[in-house]
Amino acid sequence: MLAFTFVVDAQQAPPLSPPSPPSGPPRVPDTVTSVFRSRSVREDSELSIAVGPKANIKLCVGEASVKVNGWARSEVRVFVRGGMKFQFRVLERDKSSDLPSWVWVTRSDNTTGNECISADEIEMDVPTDSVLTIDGRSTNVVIDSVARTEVKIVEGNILMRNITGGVRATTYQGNLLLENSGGTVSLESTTGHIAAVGVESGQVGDVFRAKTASGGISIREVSYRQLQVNSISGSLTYDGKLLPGGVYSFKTSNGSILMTLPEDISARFNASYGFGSFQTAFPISVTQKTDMPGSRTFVGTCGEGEANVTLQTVRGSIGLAKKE
Amino acid sequence: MKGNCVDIGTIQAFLDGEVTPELSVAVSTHISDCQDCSLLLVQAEEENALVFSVLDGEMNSMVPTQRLWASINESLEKENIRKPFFAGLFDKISASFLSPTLSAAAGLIVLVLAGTVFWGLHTDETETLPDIAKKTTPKAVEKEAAINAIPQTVVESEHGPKVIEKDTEAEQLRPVTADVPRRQVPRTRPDASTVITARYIPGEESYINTIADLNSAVEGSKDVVLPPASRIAFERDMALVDDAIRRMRAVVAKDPNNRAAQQVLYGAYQDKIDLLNSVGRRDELMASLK
Repeated sequence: MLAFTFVVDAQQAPPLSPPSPPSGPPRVPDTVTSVFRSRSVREDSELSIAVGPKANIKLCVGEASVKVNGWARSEVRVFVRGGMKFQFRVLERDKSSDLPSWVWVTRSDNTTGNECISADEIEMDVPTDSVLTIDGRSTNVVIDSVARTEVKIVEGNILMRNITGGVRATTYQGNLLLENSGGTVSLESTTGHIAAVGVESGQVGDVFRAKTASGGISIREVSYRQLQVNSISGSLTYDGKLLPGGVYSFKTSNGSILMTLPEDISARFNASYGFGSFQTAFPISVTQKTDMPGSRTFVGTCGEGEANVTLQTVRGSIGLAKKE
Repeated sequence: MKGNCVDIGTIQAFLDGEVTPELSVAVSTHISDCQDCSLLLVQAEEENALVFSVLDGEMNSMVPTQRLWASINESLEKENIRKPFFAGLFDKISASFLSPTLSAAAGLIVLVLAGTVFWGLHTDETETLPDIAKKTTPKAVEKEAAINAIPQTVVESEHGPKVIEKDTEAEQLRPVTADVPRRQVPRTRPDASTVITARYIPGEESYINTIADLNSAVEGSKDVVLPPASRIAFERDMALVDDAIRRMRAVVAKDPNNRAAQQVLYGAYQDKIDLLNSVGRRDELMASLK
């Protein structure tokens, strides 16, 4: 790959149209060019840079609250409140326009080898067609209106909305919320809850995965043909449709599974609930059933059986309820 | 969660396993969310570890195990059943020992008998391990297999028997072979036929080997990588997964052709692998951010 590094100084940034006034804390004055204001070791600073279409933007966060918002400009603007100096490092440029296509937002003073920015708050405005990558240690992240994102943090909550091209988010201690998005989705937490609302697959083959160890998973109005939901000690709830030909898998060791489905479902259910129970509000024609403690299974079809649903719990209960 | 914080007495009882299952769940749930209480728990654990390490020798020496007590009680019960016959005989003998001459003669007989027993014990030392292994009751072996989440402690490999995992609970319930005094066992390599052969369902062994590898990697780092609250949650999840594995293994052992139970068992193994992996991945991420 033809990648190279080029540090863009704040004063060298090309002239840009003024950004919209952000809400919230006191800000540096808006000017045509990028602005940097120095007050103390932890200070406010702001930089912006013009980027090419579908730019990749990378950010590493030590400790900070991060807010990213997509806007209809080919420009990245970053405002750091109460934090360290930072810079844009251009890792790659677009061949046709020569504009940066891969930008790394990194601290200016990287003599220690640490590239991560710590601050009270980091606000970013990025093009709506950009791809955002964030790594972080202790941070709460809010991302709105970008094409695709990948977030990986040690601890903190991640909230994402309006992300059309796919999401991959991991937090080892914190909650995950995804709203009004699409594409291939992978949500993973070790200690935390996961919720997804209004998520649709963008194209055939998109997969929705949600996985947590300690926590529940709640999914509502999610339309995917491949859906895998897994928890160890939490319960799983699903409220939505089952698409024809879809493959749905819900597994938990110690929790319950509750599916709220429309009345006209067409699915084949394969349930295994070892030491738990199974209840359904649907007329399911049973093809196979065992009822021994530790080995309670149920295979049955409702309607034409067009979707395949696997439900697995060791000690919890399984419930299929009709949507009112 | 400051309002519902757990007091130190409850935490001690929780550590000692003296709380009700409901309270145990409530305490562990609260501790996983509350940094202060999890720190209190860690401190209590450290104190316990210190105390137990000091008292370790005292507690482990000359204290009969639960199994030994059971066997003593069993012997006493058998003795009580026989009492009507022996009690009368004993009464007669003890009455005749009132005579000094008879007492001296009885003493001599006791000495001769003791010598004979001592000689007999020496000649019994030729007993081989396979003979001892035959004394292992099948019931005890079954019990051990059912209790262990990773049931077999010894498996055959190209390089001889290989210990996979030890379980403290299993240690206490080890088959009767463990009761044979060490000096009576000749130092010979056990015959392959006497080794307890691992009976895995297809694919299970690779899960177990992976878990063993990950366990050894995580064991040293989890204290550093995981903060107290995460550590509590991790241990709770591990306990849940181990319990699921144990339960499903017992089901599969009863009916090895039960495909559904096998799938659940595989799922539980995979959960354990994922859980162990999460510690390593968290460590990697933290290292990359430094």
